[in-house]
Amino acid sequence: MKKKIVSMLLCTAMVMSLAAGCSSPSNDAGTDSKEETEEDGADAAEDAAEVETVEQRTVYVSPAWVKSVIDGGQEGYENYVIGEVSYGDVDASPDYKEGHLPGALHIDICEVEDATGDEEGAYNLLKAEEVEQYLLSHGITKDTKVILYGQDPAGVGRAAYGYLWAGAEDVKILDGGIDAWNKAGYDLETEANEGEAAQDFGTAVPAHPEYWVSIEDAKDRVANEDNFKLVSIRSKEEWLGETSGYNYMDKAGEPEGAVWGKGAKTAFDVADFLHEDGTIISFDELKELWSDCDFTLDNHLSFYCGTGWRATVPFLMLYEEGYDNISVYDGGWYEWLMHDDYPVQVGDPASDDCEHMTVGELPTGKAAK
Amino acid sequence: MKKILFVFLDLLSIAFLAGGYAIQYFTKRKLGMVRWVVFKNKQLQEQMPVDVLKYAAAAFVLILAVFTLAGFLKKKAHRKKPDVVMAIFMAALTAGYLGFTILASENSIRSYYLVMPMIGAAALLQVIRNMIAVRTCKYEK
Repeated sequence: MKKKIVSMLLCTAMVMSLAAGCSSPSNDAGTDSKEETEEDGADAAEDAAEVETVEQRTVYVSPAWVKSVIDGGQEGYENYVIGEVSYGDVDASPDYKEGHLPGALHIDICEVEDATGDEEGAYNLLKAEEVEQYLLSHGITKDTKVILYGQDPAGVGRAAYGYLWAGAEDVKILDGGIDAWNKAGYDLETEANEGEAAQDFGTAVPAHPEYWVSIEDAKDRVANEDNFKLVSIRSKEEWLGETSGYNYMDKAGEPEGAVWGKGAKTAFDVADFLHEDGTIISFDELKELWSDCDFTLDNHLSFYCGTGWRATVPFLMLYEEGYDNISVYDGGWYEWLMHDDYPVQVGDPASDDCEHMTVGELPTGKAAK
Repeated sequence: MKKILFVFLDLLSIAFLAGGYAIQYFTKRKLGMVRWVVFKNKQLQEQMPVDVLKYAAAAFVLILAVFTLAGFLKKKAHRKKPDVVMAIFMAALTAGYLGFTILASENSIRSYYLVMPMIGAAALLQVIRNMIAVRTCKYEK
């Protein structure tokens, strides 16, 4: 009898484990009620009404400004979409289900970038028609005011950059993310939202192909154009070739001719561009950060990193300051590694220790542990 | 002794299934995980003929499972109810493993190449468990 019970229990556990592994998580987002926050709603609305307007090219905006848009206090921002950006579909996004800005949609980062990592996709932006379809599915056209936020400032930057590239004319990012929103005392909601699909984006996508630099162009221009600077937004260890920074890249180094733009402590942050509270640094602070770098703001700055996330943050910071001599070399170190004959540098190019070779000659074993 | 061995094999099977579940769970939720999985897929495809191996492994488990079931059916007079349950479970798990191997792909499930051997290992352990049960049941009262 005992043996029978044990066998039955084990059998049941195995069937349940198998079934759970093959099924999708349940969607209970629509059943939760709205959460209350500490601040009084009337005070918040009053604050929102006093918020100043911002320029169309302003990217990083305060929670108070976003709240004022939601409350209808910003003229010209009646047609808006708020999106919480993260990886995975809505069912795989616990942060969204736990609480998001009122009316916010969930936006999968894979709606703007490739997820296959193969030679054709290389984690670059998706094809224009695919990005356009995703935008339209959320009801976003070129005239829609888009406000994005998420846990990862680089991931949100990636989506914002993709939207600007596609042609959305007014894209904002909630500065400091949901933490700043909570700190301001504004409400969250847990009910999942879906946008009303639009039919026509209103312009050819991408409207700004110049924001995107292919690997071929990056290689050619960094070798032949003095004013073109390929700016590495990677950690010091990545820049010096001590590690690739990623557990899925086995070789370390940088494209030959690249200059360092700092920005990160690891492959997964943009700490140098952020204050301690997670808000973006000011333009003056950015200039101070770059004061000893081997480029100026008069150069054409093409930012890159591992796969094009971190690079979008300085792009957006300069974009909102009105710079047009900027772009993102999207493929980053990941795509560069796919070409054995591409030139690389390992070490600080200003030092005598810097080694020059090709990707194929690089030693392996440099993946992040 | 046999009982301990069965429990050990069952627990190991659960561990493999749980491992497969965990890989798929995090692959769907963590970008870093999916990229590592893509990297591993690429490495596996470069280093070994995975498409040949996966069918060979599935065929091997299937053949063993069929032989085990045949032996089990032959010993009708000696088998007990828990053994029947476990034999049915083995058959279901083997069928699930074959289905996963044939019907799924790297495109439909990113962690395909990592989850598949986990399910295969669980199925194989259950085949071994049932094989032992079949070979030893005649000695029991």
